[in-house]
Amino acid sequence: MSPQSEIDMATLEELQATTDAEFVAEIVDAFCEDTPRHIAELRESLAKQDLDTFRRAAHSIKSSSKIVGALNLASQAAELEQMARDGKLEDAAGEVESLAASYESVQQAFMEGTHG
Amino acid sequence: MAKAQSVPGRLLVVDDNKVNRLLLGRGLEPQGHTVAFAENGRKALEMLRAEPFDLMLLDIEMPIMDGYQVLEALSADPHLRDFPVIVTSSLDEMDAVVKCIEMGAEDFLTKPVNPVLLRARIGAGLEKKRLRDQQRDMIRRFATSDVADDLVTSGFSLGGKYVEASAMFSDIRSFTSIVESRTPAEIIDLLNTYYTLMFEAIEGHGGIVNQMVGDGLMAIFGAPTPLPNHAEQAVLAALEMQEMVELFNLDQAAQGKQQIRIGVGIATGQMIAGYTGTQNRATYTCVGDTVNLAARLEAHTKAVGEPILIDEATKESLDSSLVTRAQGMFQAKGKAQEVVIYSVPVGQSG
Repeated sequence: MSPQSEIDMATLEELQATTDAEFVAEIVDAFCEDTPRHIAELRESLAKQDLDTFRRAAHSIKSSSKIVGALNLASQAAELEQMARDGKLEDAAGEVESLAASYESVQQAFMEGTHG
Repeated sequence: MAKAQSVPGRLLVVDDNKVNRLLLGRGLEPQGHTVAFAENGRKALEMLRAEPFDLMLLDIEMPIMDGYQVLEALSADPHLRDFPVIVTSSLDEMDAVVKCIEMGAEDFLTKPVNPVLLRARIGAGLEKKRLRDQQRDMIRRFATSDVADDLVTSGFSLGGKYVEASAMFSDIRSFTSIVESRTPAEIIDLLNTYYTLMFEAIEGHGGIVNQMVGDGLMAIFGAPTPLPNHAEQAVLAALEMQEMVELFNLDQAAQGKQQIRIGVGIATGQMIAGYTGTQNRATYTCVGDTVNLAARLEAHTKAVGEPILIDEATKESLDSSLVTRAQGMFQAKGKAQEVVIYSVPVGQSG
């Protein structure tokens, strides 16, 4: 998958249309600052089988990913959130790493967008 | 449709997610709103209790204390139970939103929040809050703080209950002819001064004025909040009212303006108290034989030429130092039996 397809440009454009470019940049910065922290939370809570923390971290990633148009990442996070809700984290480790990889692509796409 | 151009308010944005806080908060600042942030429910409640806010945007899923727990705490707090809350949640949490609305949230926004919709909802929420504050202010102004507090704690339970209390009626003698001989501005000015004085005397003795019609008013002593010696307090209030009218008349005479006289009737006993009216317009009132008798006694002051008339139950509850004079039997309209009534001579209060 190419990095650009990780981000839904329509979402970003709409966000910018209703606010301004500077604000969008600020939102993206906050997203890139927060998401690695939430991914770390996912790994830690998975190790401890802490369902609540895992669910909230996944929920947070889902929520902010939608705002910046990282829709693929959002749906991966939504799946993890549902797994925690169902109390079934047996297969979650692989999903977490796959989400982390997606995030790297998203971040890459934002970097390219900023410098391109 | 009118544009939701709201007056700026103080908003509290509660969300554990920084990106959401940014989007919500910064999206609102251009509207002139002051925005404060809390990253969990516990912090939000602390802030709400420490400083005034107009509206809260509340996330449901949060660590430490979630949105449900915040709504629960709000509804248990008499000072915050009406505080307006707009719940923010993702589309797949509709069950949660419904639960929040049932728990007292006023509105909801789906995340990611559309800034235009956000501003419109905030505008509407602030407007509703403003109207509610105004309404509460009106209740306070017209129904005294006792009734307002009772309303706030008991809600609009329109059911009645029996209370032991004293009812008072008062009006201005010959008001019709006064109205005919004075200018409208003078009449309203006269009424406003008169009501100010009467309210002061009544509330100063623990009574509440629950009705004002033209130049007449009805007051209750002993409900909704129980009042020890309510009969005596009512009589003392009546004496003070008469003295205030005398002082008022001296002032009026000095200015060459209309002087007035008032008649007061008081009866004591059981009555039915409650909020009457509709959800849109209700008033706290008392009804029953005791209340009717007080109204009849007030009307009867004209016939006997005494400024204050009371029934036997009121007289029985008085401190012996207060002078009363028997005025014989009184046949109240619509009553089978005559009752003994007394006058209270003016000039013996405090």
